[in-house]
Amino acid sequence: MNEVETRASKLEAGCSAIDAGEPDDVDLVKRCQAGDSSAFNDLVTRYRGKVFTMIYGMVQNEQDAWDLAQEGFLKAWKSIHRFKGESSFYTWLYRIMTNVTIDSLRRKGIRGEAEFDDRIAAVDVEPGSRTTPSSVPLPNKKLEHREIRQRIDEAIAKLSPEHRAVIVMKEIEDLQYNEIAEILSCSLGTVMSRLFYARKKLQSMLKDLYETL
Amino acid sequence: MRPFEEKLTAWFDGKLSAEEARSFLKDYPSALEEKAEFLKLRQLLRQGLESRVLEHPDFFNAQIMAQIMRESVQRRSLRRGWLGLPQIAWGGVGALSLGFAMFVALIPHGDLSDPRSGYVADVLKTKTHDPNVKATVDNQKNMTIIKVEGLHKVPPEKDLNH
Repeated sequence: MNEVETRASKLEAGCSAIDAGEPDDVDLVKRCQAGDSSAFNDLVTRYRGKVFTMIYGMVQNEQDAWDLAQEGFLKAWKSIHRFKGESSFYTWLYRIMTNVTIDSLRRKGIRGEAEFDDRIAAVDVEPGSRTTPSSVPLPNKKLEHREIRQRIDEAIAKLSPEHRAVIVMKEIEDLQYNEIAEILSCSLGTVMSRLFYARKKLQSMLKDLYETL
Repeated sequence: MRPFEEKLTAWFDGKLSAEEARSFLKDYPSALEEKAEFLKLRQLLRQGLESRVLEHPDFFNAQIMAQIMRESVQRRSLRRGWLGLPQIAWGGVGALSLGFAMFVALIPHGDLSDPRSGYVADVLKTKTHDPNVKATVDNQKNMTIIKVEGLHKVPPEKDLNH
């Protein structure tokens, strides 16, 4: 089981009592708030894999994902005294990471293609419409994993930062709607709407790929 | 009532109740086909993105901790710098106090404007402690006359004739 899978299974356990004998998030956070940086090191170890995967899913660049994850963890350390435990630590951490990543994407001028913008979606997309195959020719041999990843990266790169965030959090992290809404500070309806249009767009771009797998 | 896209998404993700799901499928039978496509997309995304593993994780931690230590040291030195200002102020106050104390202790005091006044004061001090007694000095040629006024009587110990 690789690190990501290990972390995922730990998250499913609710982040409490991660492993027998390991302190849970609440204990580590309290120690961090008392100035214990080694406790923060443990939290970084616990979440670095998930955070990196999530950010990479949004930026599709390893170096950027590394830098943004570091920036996010440093922000978390600086503001950990403000964490009151109203949400779980990982929800709070993901909110920081998502904001850091979305800000970075916006600074780079990435807005996604407008046709799936939530605000104009009702005009541009027929709700019951079927997805159309991409114009990319179907491969007649099984694609290498690297190529698959490249195609996915290209498709996600065409989404807006907000659509990327919901796709990664739902499809990769398997977070619940309310968790995503809390992280992104938006309503449940907005989460579902963004998921709908992001999925539609990805289906239209990746249909040839998933049909061959 | 939720719009179609929200309902479809909720149905995909198993968030509709059994009754809502039945009603939804009755209205949109093609949704079943869409769900099959969506599940393939989900599988593809998970396959493509979950495989991304953070390389050199220990170095990742080390960089963060080094940055935290650097900022902590900077904050401490900054705090020391701020604490230095009151220290300087207290030092200044101390130096001024010391200077004042030395001035009080080492510099002679009293009315030094007229040496005669000191002489008259010495005479009065010798003759009496009564503050109502006054003395005047009359400088004559080859002599100085000191007149003492207000003495009721010459104290026995000062009476030269006694």
